[in-house]
Amino acid sequence: VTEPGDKRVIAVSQGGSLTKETQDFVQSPGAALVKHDSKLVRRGLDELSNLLDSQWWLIERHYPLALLVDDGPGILEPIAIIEQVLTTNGYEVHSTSSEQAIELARSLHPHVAILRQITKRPDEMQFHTELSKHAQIIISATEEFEIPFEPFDMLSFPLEERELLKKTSSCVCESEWKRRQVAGVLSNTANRIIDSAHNVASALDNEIARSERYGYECSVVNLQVDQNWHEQRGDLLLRGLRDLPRLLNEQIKSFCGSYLVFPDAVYRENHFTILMPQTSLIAVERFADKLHDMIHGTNWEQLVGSSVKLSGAIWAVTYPQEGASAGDLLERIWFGPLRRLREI
Amino acid sequence: MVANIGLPPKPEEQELSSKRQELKDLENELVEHELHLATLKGELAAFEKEYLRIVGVKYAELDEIEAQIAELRARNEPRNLEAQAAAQNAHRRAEESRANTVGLAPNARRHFSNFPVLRGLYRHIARTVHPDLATNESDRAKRQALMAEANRAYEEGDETRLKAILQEYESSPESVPGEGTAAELIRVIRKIAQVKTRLSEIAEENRKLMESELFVLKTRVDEENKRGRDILKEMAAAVGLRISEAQASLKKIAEAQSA
Repeated sequence: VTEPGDKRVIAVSQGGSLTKETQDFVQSPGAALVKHDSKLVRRGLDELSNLLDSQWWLIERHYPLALLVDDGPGILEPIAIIEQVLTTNGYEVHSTSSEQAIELARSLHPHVAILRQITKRPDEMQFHTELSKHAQIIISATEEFEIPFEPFDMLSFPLEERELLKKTSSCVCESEWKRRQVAGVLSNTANRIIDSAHNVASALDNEIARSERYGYECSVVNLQVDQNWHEQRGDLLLRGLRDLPRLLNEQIKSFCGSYLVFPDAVYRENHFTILMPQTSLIAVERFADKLHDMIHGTNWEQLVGSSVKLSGAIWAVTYPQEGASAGDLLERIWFGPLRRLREI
Repeated sequence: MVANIGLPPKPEEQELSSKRQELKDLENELVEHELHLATLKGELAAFEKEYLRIVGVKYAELDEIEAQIAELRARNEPRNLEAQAAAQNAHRRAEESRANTVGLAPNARRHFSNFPVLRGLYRHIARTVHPDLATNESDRAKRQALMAEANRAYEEGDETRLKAILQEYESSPESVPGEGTAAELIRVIRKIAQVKTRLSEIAEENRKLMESELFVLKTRVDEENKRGRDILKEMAAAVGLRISEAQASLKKIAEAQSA
């Protein structure tokens, strides 16, 4: 302990009690004090983060669903290998025979159905057509096998894990996208994006390619409106949030500066996905702040004609830190985990 | 009524008057900043106690069980250096956590309360006994001790002690101001310098407190509380689950060893 007013620093260690002399010193004005935070405080911070994240997971986390269709032993690797790879990568996997596949697909609504090279069925074409109404189809087959229909993806054997995951994830996104078909309330800008790139995935693919070429980061922000709010006040949402893409665009443009060149907002049910080219991890957090303030500052009553308080959350993923492809990033946006930036 | 006889004030008197006004403004600022800092410290200290009482003790319990597990493993494999080191580390961690949480009164004051009367008293004391307003070294030392006690009493919400401190100083001879314009001017100028230095120290101390992990934790816990969640209890429950797992694991290891 030094004299009060002395500019030397004393460190009060974690734990233990202080003598009266030390207490007097650290309480007196001018005493330079460094008090180390207890390690228990650091652990508490970690605990809190886990708790808050896991709570969101409990509510939001759902797994992409894959249906494996297999009619028995063949020349290819056992379907169990595919099942193992997908399961360890966060998929919920169901296996079935082609006899039961259609019925199961109707009830489960899988994102993707992976079929083994099927040659036994007389009604093969009809079977594929029917199954494709319920899921994106991948056919696993040897390279010599000719895919019966053009739109189907093919996995060639010997199976490569990376190829399997890439194709599956791309099918999941396609499937998810179809489910969240863009409503007719899109802004012109958003429609332009859809028209020109067909879907967010291809728009994002383009952005990623550009980012890779120029060494940029790019981000995707997902503004998710609270589900309860959406369900209870869906009509208001449709009327009021019609203006949200416009407001978002204005906000993004005002923030734009050197960070953004190609911002657009897309309305999908209770999600707004915003592509943010040249936007880094840090910049997207700043944007989340702006977005949060904008939503709070917006007169929703005027827009929807009723007194409402919008609630939800702002999420983000950034290329390349949190995903290397559009499939990776969108899968994280739709299935988590991704960074929750701000509560609305 | 005696009229002003018309003599203009001397330059040093004019200077003294202007410096006194400057000092008065600075003193007001200083008192508010001291109050703010003391309040922040009080809030953090009360929060830390509450956090340690609810969550910290759970960590200490968990660390104790983990230390026992590590010790059993080390005893089981006396030649395994990694196991020995792990046991030592676990023991050290358990000791540290215990030291952080030992002696926490279960009925400790949960929230820092700074009622207006306390704030008023604190302001009055800071204005009267602040060490940076001392006129000489012995006065400064006395003020230093009183201010330290006042800070402690404020943090603990002890109104009686605050009143006693104020009374003690006001009845002491140091509270009588000195005379003489030149000497007074020098004293005031020095006080101004002291107050300015203290103001920048307060700003720095505030910054450090607000950057501390404890402040971050408190802010996040407060945010969750506002949303109606008792997050400290949830955290304690989460650690409680890990304690149960560790207890089961300890039991298993102990049974395997005795078999």
